[in-house]
Amino acid sequence: MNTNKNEYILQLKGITKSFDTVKVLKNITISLKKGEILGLVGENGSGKSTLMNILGGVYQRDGGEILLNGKPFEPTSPKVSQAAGIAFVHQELNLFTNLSVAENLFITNMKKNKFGRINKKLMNKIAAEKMATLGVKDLSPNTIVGSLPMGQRQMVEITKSIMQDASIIIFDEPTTSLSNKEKRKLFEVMHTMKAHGKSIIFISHILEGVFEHCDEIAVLRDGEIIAQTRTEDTDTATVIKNMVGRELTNIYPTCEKEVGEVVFKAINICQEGRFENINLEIREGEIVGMFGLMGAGRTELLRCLFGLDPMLSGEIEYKGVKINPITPINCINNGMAFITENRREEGLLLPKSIKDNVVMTYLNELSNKLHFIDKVAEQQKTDKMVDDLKVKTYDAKKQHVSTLSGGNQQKVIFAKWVLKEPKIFLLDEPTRGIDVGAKYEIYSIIQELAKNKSCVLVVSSEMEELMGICDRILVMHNNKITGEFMKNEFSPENIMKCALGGEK
Amino acid sequence: MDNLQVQKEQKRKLMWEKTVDLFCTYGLYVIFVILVVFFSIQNPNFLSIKNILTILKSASTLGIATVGMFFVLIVAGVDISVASNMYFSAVVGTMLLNNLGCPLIVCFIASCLCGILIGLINGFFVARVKIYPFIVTLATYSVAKALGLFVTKQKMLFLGESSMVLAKSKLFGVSSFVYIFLGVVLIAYYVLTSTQFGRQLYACGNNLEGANKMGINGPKVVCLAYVICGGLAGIAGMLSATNLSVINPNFAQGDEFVVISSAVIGGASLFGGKGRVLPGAIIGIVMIQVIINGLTMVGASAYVYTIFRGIIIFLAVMMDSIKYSGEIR
Repeated sequence: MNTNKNEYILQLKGITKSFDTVKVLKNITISLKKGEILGLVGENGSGKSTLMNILGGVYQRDGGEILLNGKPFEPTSPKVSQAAGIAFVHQELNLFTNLSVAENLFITNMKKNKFGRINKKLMNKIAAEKMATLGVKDLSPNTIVGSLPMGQRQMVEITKSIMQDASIIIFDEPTTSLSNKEKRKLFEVMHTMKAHGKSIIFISHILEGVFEHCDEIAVLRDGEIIAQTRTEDTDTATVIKNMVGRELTNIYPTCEKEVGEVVFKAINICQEGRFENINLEIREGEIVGMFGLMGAGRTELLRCLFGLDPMLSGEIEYKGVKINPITPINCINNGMAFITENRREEGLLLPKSIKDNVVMTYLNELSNKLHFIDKVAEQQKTDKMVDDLKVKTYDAKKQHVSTLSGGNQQKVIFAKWVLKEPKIFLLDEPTRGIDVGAKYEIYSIIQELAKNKSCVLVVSSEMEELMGICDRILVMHNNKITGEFMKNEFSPENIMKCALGGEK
Repeated sequence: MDNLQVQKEQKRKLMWEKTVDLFCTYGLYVIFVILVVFFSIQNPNFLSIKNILTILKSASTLGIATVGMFFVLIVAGVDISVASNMYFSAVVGTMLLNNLGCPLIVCFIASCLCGILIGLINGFFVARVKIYPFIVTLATYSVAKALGLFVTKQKMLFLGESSMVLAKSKLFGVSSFVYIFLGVVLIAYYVLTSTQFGRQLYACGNNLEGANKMGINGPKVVCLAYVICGGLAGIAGMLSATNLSVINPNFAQGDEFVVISSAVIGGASLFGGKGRVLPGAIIGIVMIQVIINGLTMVGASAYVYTIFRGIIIFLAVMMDSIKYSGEIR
């Protein structure tokens, strides 16, 4: 048994993967022992999900070797991985809320007699047995999933993963939507599975959980494994350092600008079940960064400030004037702009030309008394914006936005708003998924905005870029602002500590 | 805002939500009971056994189409072509009866196959090509209707004496139509609740993307729902033709809305994933037939019926939407 314990069930050797020109994974080497829990930690975008998708057969790797039980293994499709005994428990649940627990577990593989009549009794019995092996006893297989709280739904999802007798179970950020009690239950289940000889990869950014429950910890940063160590041989400080400790490779544009008085204020922002009395101030010409890990509530706060999501109470002020009511239209009319993280879905009309996209929010100003649009002015404005923001296009009138690269698409979104000359910019992940060169240009645009006395609030998951362009960084954790860092106080370790829920 | 005010506001909100909820759940039934009382006071014959049997018989034909509509609604679709489908299928069946002298059963099978074909076209474009069901079925609605008019040269088709046998036949004093309807309901109930296909229909209606990920053949399941709906519409059309013994150019016109609203009243949701044919389909169609019959009994004009139909559809769909927005998925 002892020799068994040290056997590797899964080994990844030198895995690489690129999307277009971006290297997402560079030489990943990790190994998972039989009957152990391996914690995989890393910042957003460090490549965790890409790696797991390769293992799950969703993506194909470019290079490297995968060994399953010491034998080479080719996960060419999700079905192959499933058959090989690799199961996933995703962050988003994949359940049918209108069916019972047992029906969810058996949906593609129901027990039935030769007339096609399903045997509910048998299915309920097997479902209950399977759940009992996980230590879940208070859940009747007959209940409709829609009536269950999130934690119990998660248990159903986990049970689903063991229906096929998987030997490796990958938990992808399973705790984000759970209460503390539910989390404890989840960890209990993980240990039960472990006791049954199953191996687990636990992806999380909640370090406490990882330290408490994992046998080994692997840290992933920028597509590389920085360290894989036994839990007892490392500590929180080292892991945090490994997560963020990169050299500053990018160069950031600088420009002379003045930071003035506080002009934008958000006072006591409350949202049901999320925010409680969040306060926020931005000075004229200031660039404020907002850092936090996935699920910290950053995007939600921006959406709230722009009136996209309902707010229970709270006020927004610009230069002493209240913006009321807080609706997107009113916010725009009062000089606010919101650049969404979902560029393709929410930011652009993809099948339309660059011109149509740029003037979208500016049509009122472009139309005359009879509400006809001034075509000449439209073209002039578009040309000026395309020029100013260096959008690369052969013809702004003809080229469809869908054919542009990510960076140029993002510039079109900026152009759309800059044309309106707003004074408050809310930017949500403005550089996500765009290449280095375009990033630099976006940073220049942001600097330029601040120089023109706008307030800028940038949400980003890349701490490095925030440290590069911001005057001040706010850190969010669990829907609260947990830290504030002035430019001279920037330190990756401290910011990460705050983002993980520690004190400044 | 201080705490007390917030609490008060929340309380008021809760009360309002409860009222809306009650209205959505029982509102239609209350209106129904009020109408029944009104009709029976106006015309004492309304509640006579004879009239009730008439209502049941007339509910049966559209009831069969309603069962089909349940399948489509469960997969979060809608089929507007049912009425045209009924018309065209009935025309095909009747022409076989009149011109070739086929036995009645063969005519029914032909009508059913014809309906299945239209359903297959609907299902293919909705499930495979992924066009909105509203658009697809609006197109087939138009095409089927026009084909029917073309084949009949816009003339009335009369059914021969032999076809009346079925419409006149009775068992224990109840029209055989009612038994056919009940049979269809029972089979549908069995399929929906006790087979894997049935449960997958509900799964697809709840979360089609998830269903595909789970290894369910989503497009196939959705397509089959339209096929079933089409086939049942074909049978309903032929049944209705034998009952009327004539098919005029506006046969079944507007019935798609009766069918859809019956299904929604019976508990299916336009947002998919919900509904039980037993007793839903029966309750839905009978309720509507009672109102139609009652309006005739009190001597209302034909226009009043159309207005009522509009209001009922609106109420049913509105309540469905309100109920849906309160649901967490």
